[in-house]
Amino acid sequence: MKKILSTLTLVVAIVFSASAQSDMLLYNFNAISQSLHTNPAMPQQTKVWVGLPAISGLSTHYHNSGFSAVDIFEANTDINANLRNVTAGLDASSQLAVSQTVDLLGIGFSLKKGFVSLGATQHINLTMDIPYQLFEVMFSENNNSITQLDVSTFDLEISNRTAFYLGYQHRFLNEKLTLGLRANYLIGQQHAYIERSNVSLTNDSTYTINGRSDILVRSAGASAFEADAIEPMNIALANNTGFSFNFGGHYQLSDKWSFSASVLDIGSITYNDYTRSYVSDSEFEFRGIEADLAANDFGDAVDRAVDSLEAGFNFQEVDGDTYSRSLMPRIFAAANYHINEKHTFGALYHSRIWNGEAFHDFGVNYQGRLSRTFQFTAGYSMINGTAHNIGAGFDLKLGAFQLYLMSDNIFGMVDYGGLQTTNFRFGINLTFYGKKEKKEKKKKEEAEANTPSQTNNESINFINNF
Amino acid sequence: MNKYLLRVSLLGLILVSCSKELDFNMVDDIAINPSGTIPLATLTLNLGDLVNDIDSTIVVDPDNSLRIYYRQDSVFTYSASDILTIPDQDPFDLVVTESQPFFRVGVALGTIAGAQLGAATFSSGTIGMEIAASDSALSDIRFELTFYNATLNGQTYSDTFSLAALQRNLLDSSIINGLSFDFSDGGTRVNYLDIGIKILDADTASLPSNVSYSCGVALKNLGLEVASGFFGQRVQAAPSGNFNFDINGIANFAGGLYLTNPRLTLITKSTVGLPIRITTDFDGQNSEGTLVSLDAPPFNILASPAPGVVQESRFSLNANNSQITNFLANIPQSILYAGNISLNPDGNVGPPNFIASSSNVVIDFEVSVPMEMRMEDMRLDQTIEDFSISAGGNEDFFEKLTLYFNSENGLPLDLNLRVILQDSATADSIGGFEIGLLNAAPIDNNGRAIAPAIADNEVVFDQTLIRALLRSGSLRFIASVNSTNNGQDAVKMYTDYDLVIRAAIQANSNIKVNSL
Repeated sequence: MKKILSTLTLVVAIVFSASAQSDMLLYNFNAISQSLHTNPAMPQQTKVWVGLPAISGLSTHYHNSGFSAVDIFEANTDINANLRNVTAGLDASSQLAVSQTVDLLGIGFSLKKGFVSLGATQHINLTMDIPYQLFEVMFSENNNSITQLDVSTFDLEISNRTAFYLGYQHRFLNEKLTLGLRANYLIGQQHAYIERSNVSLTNDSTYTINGRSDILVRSAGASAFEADAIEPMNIALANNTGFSFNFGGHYQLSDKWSFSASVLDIGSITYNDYTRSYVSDSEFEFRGIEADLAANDFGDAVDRAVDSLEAGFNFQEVDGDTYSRSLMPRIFAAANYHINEKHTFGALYHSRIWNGEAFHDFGVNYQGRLSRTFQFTAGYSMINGTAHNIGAGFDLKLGAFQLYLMSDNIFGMVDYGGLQTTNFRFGINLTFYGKKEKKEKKKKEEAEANTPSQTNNESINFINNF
Repeated sequence: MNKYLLRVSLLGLILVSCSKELDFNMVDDIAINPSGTIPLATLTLNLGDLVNDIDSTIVVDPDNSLRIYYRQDSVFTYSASDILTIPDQDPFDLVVTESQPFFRVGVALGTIAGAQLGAATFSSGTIGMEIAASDSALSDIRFELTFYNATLNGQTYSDTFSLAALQRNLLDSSIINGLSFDFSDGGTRVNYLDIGIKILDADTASLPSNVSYSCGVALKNLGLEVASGFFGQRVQAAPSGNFNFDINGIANFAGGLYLTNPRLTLITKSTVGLPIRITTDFDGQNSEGTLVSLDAPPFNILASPAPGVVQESRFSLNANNSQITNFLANIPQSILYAGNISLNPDGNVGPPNFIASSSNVVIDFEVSVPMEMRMEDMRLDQTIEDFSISAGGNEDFFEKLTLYFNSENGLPLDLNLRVILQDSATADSIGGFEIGLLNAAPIDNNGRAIAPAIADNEVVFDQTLIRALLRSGSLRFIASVNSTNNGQDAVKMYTDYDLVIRAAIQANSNIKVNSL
C-alpha cells in the first residue's frame, strides 16, 4: 500500500512537474501554431506549419485544487493531523483534473488574408470532484459518521476522443481584426460521466438508516472490451460522433494594445456504440437483521439483511441507451500591451464550464519575441484558486524544426511536493517563415509612402510577420 | 547566454533548497477513523404468531387469551392379556380299564391371583391328551374325551383319541378355538371343569383285560376371547418411559414459572369390566436437568358397564391434590413416567368382572392451563461455545463500540440480560455487561397489559471490554424474566401482545492503514 501510494505520488508529481507549458501561456505564445488550439483567430508567425505525427504536440494537465503531496507527507509532521487539515480545506468545489492531449497530425498555411489549419488531436480527460465527504468520514474528528453521509455534488467525467479539425482565420479592417473558426469532427472512443449522484445514508434514528439513491452513470466504449473478439477499428472509429466549434477574435487596437478572446469546444458527442448506464433510483430503510421471533427464522437472517441493502440501492445496468454529452466549453479573454516589437506583457482570463459550474483562471504573462530562433514566455497564474503558479516556455527553431516546451508551473519541477497545478506541453514542428528580406523591403517601401494607415498596418503585422 | 543560464540554475537551486522534504513512510501512521451507527437487528414478536405453528403447545381461547395445551395419548396402555391370563393347566389324570371303561370327574381350573371365572370363551388353545397303557392290545383302542360344561358350536364338547394296536402310549392334542366353558356349575361354583373319559371299544374281544389306561388331560396356551367372573386382586406394573414437553417460547427457560390455575388431567378409557386403581409417577425434567415430581395421588378407573362400552374417567390434578404448581414452575422439557394398576383394589365386590380380547385400558396425559401466571426469576442460561472474533492483529481497530437497545414491550414481563465473556482457555469470566432489556408492560386489574413499556439501554465497549471480547472463547447469556411488579403480579397472556426489540451499534474505529 505504502509503496503503491508513494510510487503513484512520485510519478504524478515528477511527470507533471517536469512539464513546461500550459494553456495559460500557450494562448498568447503564437510562436507555435499550437496556439491555434486556444484561439483559432490567433495571428500566426509562420507561413507554413507542419506538425510531425504524434510528436508535434504532447501535453498533459494536472490540477488538484484540494491538496498537494506536501500537505500530507511533509517530513517530521503528524500525518493524521495533516490529513485532518487537508480534509478541513476540502469542499464541494475541490476538484481533480488530469488530461492528456496528443497532436496526431497538423498542418497550417497562410493565405493572402487568412490562415488555414487542419489536423487531428487525441484528448484524454479525467475531471472529478474530490469526494470531500469520504475524506471527512475517514479523517475528520467530528464529521466522520458514515451514516450521516450525503453525497449529492459528486461529479466525474472521463473521456477519450479524437478530434479532426479544420480551421480558418481571416483578417479584416486592414488586418486590425482577425476572426477565426475551427470546426471539429469528434469521435468518442470511451466516455463515462456521472449525470446524477444523489446518494445519502442517514440515521433517521439510532436504529434506522434511511438510504436514498438517485444515480445515473452513463458510459460508452468500455463494454467493447468485454467482447470475446475485440475489434480495434470498431473501438477507434465507434459510432460515437459529434461536432464542436471554436470561435475566436483578435483585435489590434493600437501599436501598444491588442485584445483577443475565444470560445472553445461548443458542441457535443452523441454516444451510440457500446453504451451502458448504471442506474439506481430508490429509497429504502435499513433496520438491520429483521426477524420474527415467533418464526425463529434466524438461519439466513444476515444474508437477508445484506440482500435487502443490495435491493435497496436497486442498481441496474442498462445497455444500449443513446446519449449526448456536451464538451466542456472554455473561454479565453486576453489583453496585451506591446512595449515594442520584441516585448509584450499580457493579462489573461480563462474559464471552463463543467456541469454548469465555471472554474476561473487568471494570469499575467510576458512574451519575448527575441528572434525567430528563440522566443520566450513566462507568467504567473492563479488557476482555480491555486496560486503561485509561475510558468515559462520557449521555442527554439533549428532550421525548419521548431522545438517547444512549456509549463504553467515550473516550480513543480523542483518542488513537486507542493504541486497542485501544472501542465506540460512539448512538441516538434516543421515551420517555415517568410523571407525577412522581403519584409524589410516592404517596410522600407511603406515607410517611404509615409501614410498613417500603412504605419498602423506595420505595427499591426509585426506579430504576423515576425 | 551563459549569464542567463547561470541565473536560471541559481534560481533552481534556491527553489530546491526551499522545497520541503517528503516522507512517504508516514503512510504507516495513517489511521482512518470513520464512525457510524449501524442498525443491527429489528426483532418482532406477536404472541398470536406463536400459536400458528401446528405443533404449538399454545392455543387461543375464545377471548384471545393464551393457553398451554399439551396432550400425550396412551402414556399407559394395558391390554386384556395384561389384566387376565389363564395359565397352562397341569394334566388331570383319568384312569379307565376294560372293567371300568368310563370315568367322569369335576376339577378346578387353575388361575392367577385368585381369579374366579364363571364363564369364558377361548379364542385359542389346545387340549393335550397323554395315554399310558399298562399293556398293549392287538387292535386300536379309541377313547372319547368330553367336557360336559363346555360347548363348541352349541354342542357339548367331546373329542376322540385312538391308541394304536400294539402301542402302549399315546401323545396327542386337539385345538379348541372357540370353546366356551361354563365354570359356574349352574351358578354354584367357580373355575369348575367337568371332564369325562370313555373307552369306546370296551365291549369288544380285542380289548385286553387287566390293562389300565391312564389318561392325562391338559389345557394349554389358552387365549381368552371373553371371560367373566372375578379376575383377582393384584398389581400390574406398566413400562416406564418419557415424552417431550416443549412449551413454545419458554422451553429453554428453567424455573420461576408460577401458573395461577395449573391443572393437569389424566384421562382413562376402559373397555374392561373391572375396577382399576392407577398409581402414576410423573417427574418433570427441565433444561438444567432438575427433576420435580408431580406427586399425583392414585385414582380409580371405573369399570366398563358392558362389553364393548368405553368407560372414560377423568382425573384432574390441581394445586390441592398434587405438586403441579412446582411441577410446571420447573418448566419441564421432558416428562418421565412410570406407574402401575391395581385390579379390583377393593376385592371381590360389585358386579362380576368381564373382559374381551379387544379390551384395554388407556391412559392419556393432558395439560390445559390458562397462561395466567407469575414469573419470578424465570431463568435462561445458555452458552455459545467456540466464540471468536479476530481483529487481524489490530486490537485497537475500534476505539469504542456502543451497543444500543430499544424495546417496545407489550408483554407484562421484565427481561434482564447478563452477558458474560468467558476466557477461551479457562472459561473464567473476563468481563461482561448487564442490561434491563425489557420493561414489563403495566397491567390492569385482570392482569392484562394495557400499554407497551419502553426501555432504552446502551452498553459501552471501551478498550478493556473490547480486548476481553477479542480474548473470549465463549459467551454466556443469563436471562431472568419477571412478570410485572418484579414477579409479584399475576399476568395474563393475550394474542395481541407485541414486542419489538431494536439493536444498533455505534462504532468509532481506528484503522491503521498498514494493518489492512
